[in-house]
Amino acid sequence: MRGIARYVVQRIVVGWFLFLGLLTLSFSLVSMLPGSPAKAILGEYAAPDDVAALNVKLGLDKPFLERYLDYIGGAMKGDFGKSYFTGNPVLQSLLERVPNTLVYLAPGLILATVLGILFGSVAAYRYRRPADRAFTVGSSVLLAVPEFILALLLIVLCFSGLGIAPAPVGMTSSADAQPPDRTGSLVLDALLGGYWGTFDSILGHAVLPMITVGVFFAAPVSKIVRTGMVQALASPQIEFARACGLRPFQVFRYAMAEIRGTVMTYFVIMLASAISGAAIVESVFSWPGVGGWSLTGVLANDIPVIQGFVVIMGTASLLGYIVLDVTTTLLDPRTRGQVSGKRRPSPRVLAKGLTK
Amino acid sequence: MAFIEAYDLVKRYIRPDGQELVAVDHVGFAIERGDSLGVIGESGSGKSTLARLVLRLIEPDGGSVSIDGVDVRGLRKGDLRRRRSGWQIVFQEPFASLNPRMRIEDIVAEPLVVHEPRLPAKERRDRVVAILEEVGLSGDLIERRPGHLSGGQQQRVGIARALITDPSFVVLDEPTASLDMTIRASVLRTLERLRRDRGLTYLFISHDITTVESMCTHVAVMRHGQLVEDGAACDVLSSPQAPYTKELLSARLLVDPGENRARRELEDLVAAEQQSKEAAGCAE
Repeated sequence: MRGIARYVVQRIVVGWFLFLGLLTLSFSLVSMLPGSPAKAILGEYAAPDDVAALNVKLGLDKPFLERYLDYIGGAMKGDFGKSYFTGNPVLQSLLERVPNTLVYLAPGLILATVLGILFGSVAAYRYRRPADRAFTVGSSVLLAVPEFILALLLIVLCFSGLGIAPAPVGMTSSADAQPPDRTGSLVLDALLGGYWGTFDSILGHAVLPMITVGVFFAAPVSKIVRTGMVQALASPQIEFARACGLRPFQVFRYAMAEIRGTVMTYFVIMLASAISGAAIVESVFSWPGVGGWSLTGVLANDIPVIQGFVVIMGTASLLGYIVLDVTTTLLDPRTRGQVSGKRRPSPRVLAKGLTK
Repeated sequence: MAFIEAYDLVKRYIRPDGQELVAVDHVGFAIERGDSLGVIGESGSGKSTLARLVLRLIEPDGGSVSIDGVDVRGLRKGDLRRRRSGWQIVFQEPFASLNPRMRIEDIVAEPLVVHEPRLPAKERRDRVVAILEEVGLSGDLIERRPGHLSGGQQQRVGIARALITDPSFVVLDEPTASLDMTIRASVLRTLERLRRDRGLTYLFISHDITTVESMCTHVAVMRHGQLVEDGAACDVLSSPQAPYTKELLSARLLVDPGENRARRELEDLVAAEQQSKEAAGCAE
C-alpha cells in the first residue's frame, strides 16, 4: 500500500508543477489579448487621463514580468484577483459557483457515460444489423445537434408541453426558503443548513440541464464504446472466452475491461469540454454556475475572471488526469503489482505499464 | 453415424460494398471418433469460418452439424454453453487469445469454474498443474501472466485451457502457424500424443500441408468456400484428384533440405534442356 501512496503523491507533485505551468500560460495568453480593459470599463469615449488613471489603479501600467510575479504570488496565497467590473474576488465567485455547476454537470456526465456504454454496447452486439444501423443514424443526428438546441427542445417538451419540469430560470423558485449564507454557495448552504426542501428544488431544477449534458455527451461516448466493443468482441480473447462456455455477462465484462481505459480517458476529455460548454447550458437555463459567469467575463474582457475560469478548467483536467492515471494503474493487475510492490519501480517500468 | 457430421454448411457475409460473399459454400464432412481431419486451403478459403461454424461460434446460414449425435444447431443458447466443456477450440494467435490481465492459473482454470463450479479450490489447482504438465509446461508457471511466456508456452497454455474440461472434440485453428519451426514441431508432437492418450477427435485447420500430413488421418481441401477434395490423408496427398490439390501440393515448401536440393537440380536440368532446345530452334 505504501507503494501506491508514493505513486499517488508522485502524480500530485507532477500535477502541481503542471498547474504552475498552466497559470503561466494562461496569464501570458490572456495578457496578449487585444483591447484595453480600462477602455472597456469606462466606455469608448472616455478621456485618456481617466483611462490612464484606471490602468494605474488596476495595475496594468506595470511591466508584464511584474504583473506576472504579482499574479503568481497572489495565486499561491489563494488570491486570483478581483473582477474589474463587480469588484468581487475571483476565488470567492468560483467557490460560490463551482458547486452550482457540479450539481448538474457531474450527474450529467455520469448519465452520458451510462447511456453511452448502454447504447454503444447494444450496437456492437448487433453489429451491422438493423439496431446497429438505427444507432448509427441516431447518434450521428445527435452529434450534429448543438447543445443549446437540445436544451431548448427539452424545455419545450418537458416544461411548456408536459409541464413536468420547473421553469428554466435559475436553481430555485421564489417560493423556496433561502438558507442562511455560510459558504456563499447556495447548494452547500442548503445542504449544511438542512434546508431539504430547497435542496430538493435545486435538484428538480437541475434535471433538465443534467439531461441536456447527459444526452449531448452520450453520442460521442456511445460511438467510442461501439467502435471499441466491436473490436473487442471480434478479438481472439473474447472468442476464446465464448468458446469455453463463459456466461454472456462474463464475456461482456472481459470486453468492457478491454475498452475501459479508452472510456475513462474520454471521460476526462469530456469533463474539460463540458465545463467550457457550461456557458451555453447555463445561459439557456439562467443557471448561476461558472459557465455563465465566465461568459460575461470573456465578453467584457474581464481578465481576472477569464483567468479564474482557465484555472478552474485546468484544475479539473489535471485532477481528472491524476485520478485517471492512478485508477488505470490500480485496475490493471499487471501495473498494480509494479507500483504496490516493495521494490521501487524504475520509471521505465512504470512508463511501460502505463502506456499499455 | 460418424462422431462429427456436418452437412451442407453455408455462411454468407455482406461485404461493406454491399456484395455478398459466400465464405462457406455447402460444405459437408464426417469425422470418426479418434480421427483427425485436416482442412487445408489458402488464406480466405473459408477454413477458419468452417471451424467456427462447426462449434457454432458463429451462426450458419444453412446446413447442420451433429457432434456425438447432438444436433448443434438445434441447441438452445444455455444448453450450447454447457455443452462447450466437451467441445473446445485452440486458436492461431496464442497471445491474443489469452487475457493478458489474468494469471496462468486463472486462465486455465476458467473453464472449470464455469463447468464444474462446485469443485474445491485445492482440487481445481491440482488439475491445473496436472494439465499444464501434461501439455509440457512446468506447474510453476501458474503465478505468471501471459506476457511473461514465450509464444510456444502461450500456445501450450491455450491447449491446456482447451483440455482441462476433458473434451472429446477439439478444433485446432492453425495452432502452430504463428510459432517458429522448431517449436512448431514440438507442439505438434504434443498434440498428437494428447490425441492418442485421450482418444481426442481433431478438426485441424491449416494452410501448411506438411503439418496436416504429419498430424491427420483424413484431409479435406477447401478453395473459395467450397470443398474441392477430401479423403484419407494418404490417398489425397499421394494421388490428388482435383487440380487445385495438385497445385497446392506442388507449391508446398519442402522441409527436407535433401529433397529440396534434388528438386532444384531437377528443375535446373529441365530448364537447361529447354534452353538447348530453343537454341536448336526446335522448341514447341
